[in-house]
Amino acid sequence: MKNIKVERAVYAAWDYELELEHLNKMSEKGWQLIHGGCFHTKYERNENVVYRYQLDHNMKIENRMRYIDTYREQGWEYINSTFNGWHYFRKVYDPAKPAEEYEIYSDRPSKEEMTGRLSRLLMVLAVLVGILFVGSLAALICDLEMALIGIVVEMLAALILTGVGCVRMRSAGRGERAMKKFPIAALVAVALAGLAWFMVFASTEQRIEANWAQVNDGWAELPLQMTLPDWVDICVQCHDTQAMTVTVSGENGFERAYDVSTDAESDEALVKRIENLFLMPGDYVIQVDCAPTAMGLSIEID
Amino acid sequence: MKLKEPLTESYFYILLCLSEGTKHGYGIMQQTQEMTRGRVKIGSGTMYGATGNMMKKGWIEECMDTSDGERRRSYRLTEEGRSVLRDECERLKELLSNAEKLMGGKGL
Repeated sequence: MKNIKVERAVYAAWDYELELEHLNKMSEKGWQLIHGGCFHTKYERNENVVYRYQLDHNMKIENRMRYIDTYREQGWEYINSTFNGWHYFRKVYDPAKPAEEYEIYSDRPSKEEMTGRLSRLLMVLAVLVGILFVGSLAALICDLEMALIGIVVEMLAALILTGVGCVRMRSAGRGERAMKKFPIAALVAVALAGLAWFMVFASTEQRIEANWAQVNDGWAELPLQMTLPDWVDICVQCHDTQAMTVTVSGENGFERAYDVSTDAESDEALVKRIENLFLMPGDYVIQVDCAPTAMGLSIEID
Repeated sequence: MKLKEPLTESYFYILLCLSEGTKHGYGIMQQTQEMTRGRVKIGSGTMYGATGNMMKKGWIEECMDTSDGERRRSYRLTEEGRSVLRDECERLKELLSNAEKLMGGKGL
């Protein structure tokens, strides 16, 4: 009767040596890896053999058969590959054989080719996270609510950790004891918090509609509060022939003015739209200047 | 294509073993180990990377060897690869000759 154990450990890319130590220890205890991965590790009970494990990182294997054959030739059994380019191998352990028997990279240049590939991948991730971080910071500066600070903190943490991860990869040649799982757990927790904040936000729609039928003394005013950056359509409807100016003014001297004319002779010209005005979060006032006799003026903001 | 950089020992020994004839990866690894008295043992990751790079550069070719009864994935040296190996030997000869000159006498 087979015994199966599943572990849910999270390993960071730069901690692969830690993962290997763990797999080797488990094998000594009688738990043999049958499927490896970033979040999901499966073992099978077998006390009759001890294996040594190895991990290779390679996103671009042109010839899979050649790859597996090259390892199999030297006694490495292929286990599985993960979506992000990790490949698990194992070899039966024989204490009489020297340590080099259980290494897959026998010289420094080839080992560094592998860690270099991994480093470059992490650099790309770090850059992407950096871009997201700068974006969040810009949004935060435009006076958004406290909720977004969660995202910024998350991005900063991710940036630091990926950046630190890249640096550690480069100096990992001596196989020093890597950071424990704490930074990864912290990153995951902060990322989840940031995601939760973001979801709360994304679920609140912005929809403001205002209609008013009468214009007082040649102008009308409509306040608009933007909580998220968004595109806005202003729709001006008038039952009369009118030439008017629509002004959108906001904080820090922001102002946009549009000349709009409606024409009672033509049905289409009674509705004029100012489209795709992009507004950052903040308080705005939409003002319409027109002749005092205008009736049935309405403004819709979508 | 002139050689710009020295070869690592792994690359050198792979080319050297193949200069004798078509071989498979395990054979190359074993022969290298024998020739260096156990000092150079080419690991699988190193082997895959090296053979892949050398095939891309046109120094070696993949082929199927059926000489020992079964179909085995093997490699053979190209003319380009042979010329690279010769150039590298010239470089090493020059290196050693300079060392002997300055440090005096054979056997250093």
